[in-house]
Amino acid sequence: MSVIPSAPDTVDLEAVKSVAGAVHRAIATVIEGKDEAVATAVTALLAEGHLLVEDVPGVGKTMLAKALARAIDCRVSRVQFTPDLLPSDITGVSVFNQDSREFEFRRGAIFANVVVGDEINRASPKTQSALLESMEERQVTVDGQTYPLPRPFLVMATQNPIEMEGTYPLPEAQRDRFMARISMGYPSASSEMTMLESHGSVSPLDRLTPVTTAADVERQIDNVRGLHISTALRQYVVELMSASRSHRMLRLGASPRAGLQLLRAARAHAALAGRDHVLPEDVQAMAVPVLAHRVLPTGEASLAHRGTADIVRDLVERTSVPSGR
Amino acid sequence: MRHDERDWVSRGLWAEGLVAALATLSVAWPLTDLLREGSWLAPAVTMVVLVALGGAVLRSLDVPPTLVALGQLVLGLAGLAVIYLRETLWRGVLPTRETIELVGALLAQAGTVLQTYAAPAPTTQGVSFLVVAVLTLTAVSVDSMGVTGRAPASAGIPLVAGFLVSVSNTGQAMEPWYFAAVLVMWLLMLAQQGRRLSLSWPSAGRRESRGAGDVSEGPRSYRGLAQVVGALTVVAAVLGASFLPHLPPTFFGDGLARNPEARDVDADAGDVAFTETMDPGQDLRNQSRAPVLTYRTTAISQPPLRVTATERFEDGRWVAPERLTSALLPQDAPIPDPPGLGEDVPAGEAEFQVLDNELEPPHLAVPPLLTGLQLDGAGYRYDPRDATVVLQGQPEQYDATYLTLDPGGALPAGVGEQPALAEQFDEDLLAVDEVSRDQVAALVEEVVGDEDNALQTAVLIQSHLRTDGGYEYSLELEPPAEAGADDPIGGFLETRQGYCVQFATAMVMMARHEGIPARMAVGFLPGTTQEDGTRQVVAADAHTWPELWIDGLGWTRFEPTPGVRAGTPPAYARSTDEGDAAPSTSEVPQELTPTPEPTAAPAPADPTLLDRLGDLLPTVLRTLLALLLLGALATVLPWAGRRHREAGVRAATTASERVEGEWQRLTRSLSDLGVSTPPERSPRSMRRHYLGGTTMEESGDRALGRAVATLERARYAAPGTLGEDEADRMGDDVRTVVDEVRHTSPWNQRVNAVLLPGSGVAGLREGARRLLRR
Repeated sequence: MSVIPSAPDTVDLEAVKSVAGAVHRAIATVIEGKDEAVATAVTALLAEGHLLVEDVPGVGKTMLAKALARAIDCRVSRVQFTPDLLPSDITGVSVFNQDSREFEFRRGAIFANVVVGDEINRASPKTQSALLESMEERQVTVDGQTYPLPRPFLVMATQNPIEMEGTYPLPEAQRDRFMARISMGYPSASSEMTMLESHGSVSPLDRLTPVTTAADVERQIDNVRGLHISTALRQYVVELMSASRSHRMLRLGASPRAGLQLLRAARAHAALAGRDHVLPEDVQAMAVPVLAHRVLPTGEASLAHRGTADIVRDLVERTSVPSGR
Repeated sequence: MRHDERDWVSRGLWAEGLVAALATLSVAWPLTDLLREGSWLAPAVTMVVLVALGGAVLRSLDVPPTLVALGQLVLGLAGLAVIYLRETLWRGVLPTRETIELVGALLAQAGTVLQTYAAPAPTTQGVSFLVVAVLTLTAVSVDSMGVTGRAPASAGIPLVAGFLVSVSNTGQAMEPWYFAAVLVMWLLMLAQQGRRLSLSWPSAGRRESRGAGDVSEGPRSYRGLAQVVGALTVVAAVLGASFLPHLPPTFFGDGLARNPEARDVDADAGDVAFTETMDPGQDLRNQSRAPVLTYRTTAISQPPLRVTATERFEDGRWVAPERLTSALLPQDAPIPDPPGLGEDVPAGEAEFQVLDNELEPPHLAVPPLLTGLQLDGAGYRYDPRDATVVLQGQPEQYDATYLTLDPGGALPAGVGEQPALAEQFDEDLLAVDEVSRDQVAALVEEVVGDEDNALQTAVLIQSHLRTDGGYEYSLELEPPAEAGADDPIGGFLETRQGYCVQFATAMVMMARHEGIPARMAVGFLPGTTQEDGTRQVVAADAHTWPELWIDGLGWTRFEPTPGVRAGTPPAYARSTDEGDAAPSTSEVPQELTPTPEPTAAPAPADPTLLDRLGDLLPTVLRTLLALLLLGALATVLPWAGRRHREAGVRAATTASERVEGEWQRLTRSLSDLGVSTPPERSPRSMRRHYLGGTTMEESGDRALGRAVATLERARYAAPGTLGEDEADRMGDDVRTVVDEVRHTSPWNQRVNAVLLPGSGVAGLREGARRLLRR
């Protein structure tokens, strides 16, 4: 099951678009006026990457995660991260079965297609790393036994950047595991009006019914893998990465893994636009969500109140696009 | 394309054409001072209006700019032919060989008049033709640059060139309104263009919708600023010029003395003092406009008015002659025939009528070769030695008759052959100034060579001083480096700078050295013609000239002084080949009704024209060669540019390489047209760059969009998915885009892109680099 299927010769872009469109519409019934965030979430889903949703409380982080999970007919688990949460709660534990006189593996919360990790920075680093390791490897090893995780596998973690008391912020290396970071931001006045109106009596989440299946999503993920990436575009991503490493506002540039994930995200973005090849515009569209949470600004940039998203936009602006010849 | 009525009118640029025509006419305005009669005015206005109308109509019909200019040129030539050359046209339409001959004759005649006359010159048919032809060409170039080409700034060049003709030839300070008129018209042209540019951008709406701010606000505030700046410029230019100190008179600008501002400086300034000192230098600086003499004459080519003459040169200056009463003829005796004038010399009699005489006695100004004199009241006596009239009282008015020599090529043979016999003349008439004798001798040797004929010798000396020797007319004499203060002749020959006295003295001394009796005559230039047809002589018209004894002609006037403050050389004393071979043309300016008859007498005109062409042949060949070379050079850059632009397409082997090549052609062609090459960005952002930097029709927009999509597929899609037909279509789209951008570019940018493409320079540089590497 861990074998990655080779890319099909022909890419069924229509199927990708229809599945992605259905998921998007489904989520949009719950989250008002956050098209961009929803689109990024769907893109990450198709690119088989994990999502970090970061924002102040009450703007709908958890709602987004839940809605995405609910839209797909698959196994969903939700973990509320607390300081006393143990790694075994995530991965699972071997329990001695009195009847069979054998150790029996009880699967943890991670064994699901969509894992919603709420307030991930409240758990101890030990627990965090248990989650993050399995995110990368897509398998869990307990007592020498390896258990693969189901496909598709998507972790959506939320994080509150404001409250710092009693939290364990994710270290850089671990943030790198997330393909993209989304900031929800406050809704617009009209969206908020609609929300107050419709959410008053019953949560729209309850009315949400799955629009697709896990198997279908998996097929679309494979479809996306089949998109062509030209030499010119690979050159462009390489240039972006190296430019981030020498940018004077950045203490830490993008890792090679970042480049890899950027390409995968760009591929999904292109597929959603109905193209069988990836353009520089796809890379540019995904650059901020994919790169902004991985790079570290210099002290100077922090003092100048320049966010990393801002710096990444500047990076994109300045980097030339090779013509591939 | 919409073809409604408003479009039709606005495309014609009628208002702009009108202003351009007015600008051309305002350039011609100062010519009214340069030419005596206004007979050229009506044809000039007709032609300028014709050119402007033709241009507007052609533009309205949406004819390409090049053809508009060509059409105007053809129209102008046709108009000129109908006005001036109608009789020679075959069935009144087609030019014949006679037409060309007539043009040659008219131009030759104009050349003669302009060379021999100081302003104002008589408006002969030839002069009128030349002036109107030049104005027509100016009108065509102003209109096609400023209106059709939408580059009124460059239309300033033909305007200024036309204006320069007037400025450099009036010989006096120009009235400020002439300049102001041209300036205002030109500024109007610029303002019109600016207004049109800012208010009728074809893409104004599009720009606005992109959020580039409100376009209607900007031009309005700039227009106000431009109006203020323009008005200030005109005022500053006119005021500044009048506050500038007027420089001492020079060859071109010496007419400052006639500055009307100085008219009433001094009531006594009209007095003429030269007869005491025999040097009119003081009078020449006199700024008074008070007339010394007002007269009428029946002759068109009026010789200078003679007052007296002297033969004694002592201590570096001329001394006024002693009048012995015994030498004078009895009172009111008839004037004797001019001595020495051969019977067979063709001469006509002209009348001379003075209406107002302010010259104080005993002097009287009369034309040379006087034959009769009637004084109003006062009596006169005549000194036959130097042909001077001596008066007791001052007559208010007087009449005279005199001979005008009209040799017209028919000077009898043998004139000047016989050397003058020294014993028949006063020794003063042959005395060469001792101080400067060596210098004069050396110069005469150089100028005259071994010419024996006295007339030819005199003509050689005259041409040397007047044209060939590099002498300069100046009222200010520069101190010579070598010659001493007691040697004014040597000083003049060294500095080659002086006014009439120096020129006349030098000629007298040179002639005497050759054994020709010579004396210096003092008098006035013919003066300026007034509106009522009379002529007025002021103090500053004072003049001196040499008179030489030529066997067969007697005492003969010559005119060695160059420039505007000098008389016309007499017909017999112009350069010999002109006088002998082309009598009809040299004579033309003297005719009362300026209708030259070159067609009636083509035989003598033909050889001159051919001779002149023969003389010009080496120059023509050299010019042709230079033009050929220039032409060859001019094609190198466009050729290299084309190769450079199409390098990518030529080198392509696959469809996607061809697409890249086409894109390269697009960027390089547009950069030739002044659209900057986009930085290396994604195809879509390069498209945005071009949309922001150009104005295109919708079809160009669409073609650019298709080209960008194809480029995207060539770069980023899986290899092999791009077909050859797509590459072909990309080529078409690139052509469409380039054509549309070219169509909306200003005229000068288009010419630049064709003749001096930046891609040509880049191509040559690349080629050179490749060669060096090899």
